[in-house]
Amino acid sequence: MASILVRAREFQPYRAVVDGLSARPGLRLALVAAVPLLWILVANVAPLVQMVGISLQDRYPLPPGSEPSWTLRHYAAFFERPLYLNAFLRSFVFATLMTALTLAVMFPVAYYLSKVAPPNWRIRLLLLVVAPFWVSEIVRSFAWILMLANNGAINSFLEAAGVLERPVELLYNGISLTVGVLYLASLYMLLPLYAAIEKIDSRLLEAAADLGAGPARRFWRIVLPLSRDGIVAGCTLVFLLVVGLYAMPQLLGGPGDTMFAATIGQVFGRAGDSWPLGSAFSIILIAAALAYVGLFLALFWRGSRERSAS
Amino acid sequence: MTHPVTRRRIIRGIGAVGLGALATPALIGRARAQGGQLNVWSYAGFITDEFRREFEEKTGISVNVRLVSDQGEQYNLMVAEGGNHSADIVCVAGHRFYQFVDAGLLEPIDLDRLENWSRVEQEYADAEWVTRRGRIWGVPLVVVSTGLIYNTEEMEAPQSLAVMFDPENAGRTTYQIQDFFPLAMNFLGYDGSARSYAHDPAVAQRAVNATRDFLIEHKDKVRRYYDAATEVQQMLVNGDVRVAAGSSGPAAQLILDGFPAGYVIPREGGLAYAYGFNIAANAANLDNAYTFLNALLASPENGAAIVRSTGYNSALKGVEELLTDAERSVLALSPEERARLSWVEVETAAFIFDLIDTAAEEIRAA
Repeated sequence: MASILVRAREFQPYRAVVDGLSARPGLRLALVAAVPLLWILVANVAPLVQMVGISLQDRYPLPPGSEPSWTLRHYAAFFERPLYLNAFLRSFVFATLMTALTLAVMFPVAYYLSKVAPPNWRIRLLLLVVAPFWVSEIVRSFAWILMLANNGAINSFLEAAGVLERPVELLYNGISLTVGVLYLASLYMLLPLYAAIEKIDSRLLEAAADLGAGPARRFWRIVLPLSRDGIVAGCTLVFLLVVGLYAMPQLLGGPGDTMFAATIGQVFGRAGDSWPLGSAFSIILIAAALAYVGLFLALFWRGSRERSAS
Repeated sequence: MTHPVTRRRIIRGIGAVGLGALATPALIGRARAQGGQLNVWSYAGFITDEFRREFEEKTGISVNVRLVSDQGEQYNLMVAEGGNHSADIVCVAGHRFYQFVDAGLLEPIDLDRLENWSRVEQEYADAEWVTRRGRIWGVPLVVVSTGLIYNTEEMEAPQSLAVMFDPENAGRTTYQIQDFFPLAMNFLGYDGSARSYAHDPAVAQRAVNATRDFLIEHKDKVRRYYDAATEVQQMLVNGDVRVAAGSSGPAAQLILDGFPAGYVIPREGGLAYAYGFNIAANAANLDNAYTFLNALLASPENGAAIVRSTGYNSALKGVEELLTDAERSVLALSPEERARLSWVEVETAAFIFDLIDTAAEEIRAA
């Protein structure tokens, strides 16, 4: 390896580049940061800026030769039609409840994987949990449809076992949607929780037990406070994922489960100049979701600081 | 001779590579246009695997199919492409022809280059909606009707759309909102075709709002709003619904597959419209598009294959004779039912569907 580097030093273009970079630390930093910055700009910021631009135009795409005219009427439309607000609020309430439910379900799983399972089994068990996520969301949704349909696996089994006389409606309602989304979001909650709980020094738990703290007290006084970062990261990820969820509510939800992302999808699908309206709705959803998460984080950290101070 | 590496030289080199990369799509696009390609946006089943394979073997033209499921989706994508369409052939519903034509998205059909145009049934070749400003804008392929699909083991043949709002069927019905909406307007006594509202948008809006409110009020009767024809088949087969408002295609396929399904046009009426292929304006592979359309029309066997893969009636001559008795009987409607069908009004379709699209968003969101 060293000989390759020595030979490379003799290659004039390489020397020119290396010498030039050695003399300019600012340029080095700029080059290192250039690729990720460029990626963020191209993949994240530019589409959003374009979407803001479209949302403020009276019509889009513009007919050839015409100039854009600017308006806020597409943002006003959101507040003028209360039925849109229904789907918007439904998305936020659903995402909040799903975040809480996912946390409640995945916390014991993460705790088991990181603290209870034998160390040599942890990675294998984690892989077992992660494996279904190698399959796309759509395929997993159809798997749930096959399981939960009136003639699906669950109803057929319960009828064959004599538990049911008629199939129970498990699909295209809150049950199927909750199950599907919980399944979808579980990994995003599990991984941050696993990382946080694994870092907790097990000797703290042993010491607390030696001093007479029961399981519940050890959980409230040690495990929960020390896994705070994982909870915050998991909740943020799951909330942002669920609030903008499109395909799964469409496939598993019922007529009363339309989320705001689906409304946006429909607006974009409408033939005509509906892109400004869809863009305005998208910006409203993104801004509201970020504000909601920002508020959650601010309240959370303020509460943490107050507890630490006391 | 040595060439010292200067910053200017490096920048020039990077610039050349960048320009090359930026030019690549245009270069590839031109090469593809000249290299025997044809880009088609089509609904599922309109281009059968067998026809595609034979066509590619005979002509050397590669057919790149992008499946679409919605007229609005095609319209918006074409408008966004600003005249440089990635598709050579698109699949526009007859009643949407005018909207696409008026937006400059389609190329008129040059009958001198389409020698097999005479294979289209006269009724559809001469249809009012095929022509605009004295030019022909598409090749009709299949004819669709909308009515009620039901599970014959669970219920008698429904006679009226009232079955969709019957408390006995709560949670056991399904429909595609935009397709069902004109039927629901007729059911409520409004004009689902919007013919009578053409010059009175305020009246049309009131009729749409009233129908929207009625459908929201009866949301509990719906198990799920579907989007694609396969979804309604899936819900019937899975036992999730017993009756659906839908089109003739999925119904015919279910019956031919042996599922206990029936299809009726209710007494309030049903709608009829056609689907076909159209050439996109400024199509990059115009010659190939005509070669493809001529090949498709050349033999009624191709039309019969489309009927079998979609379940829709054919708009081409000689197809019916190639179908089996079972296929003919499933596709046939009684004279009374045929009389209840009305063609979607092509002049008012864009106007009323714009109102219906907004109402559909609100019904889902409610």
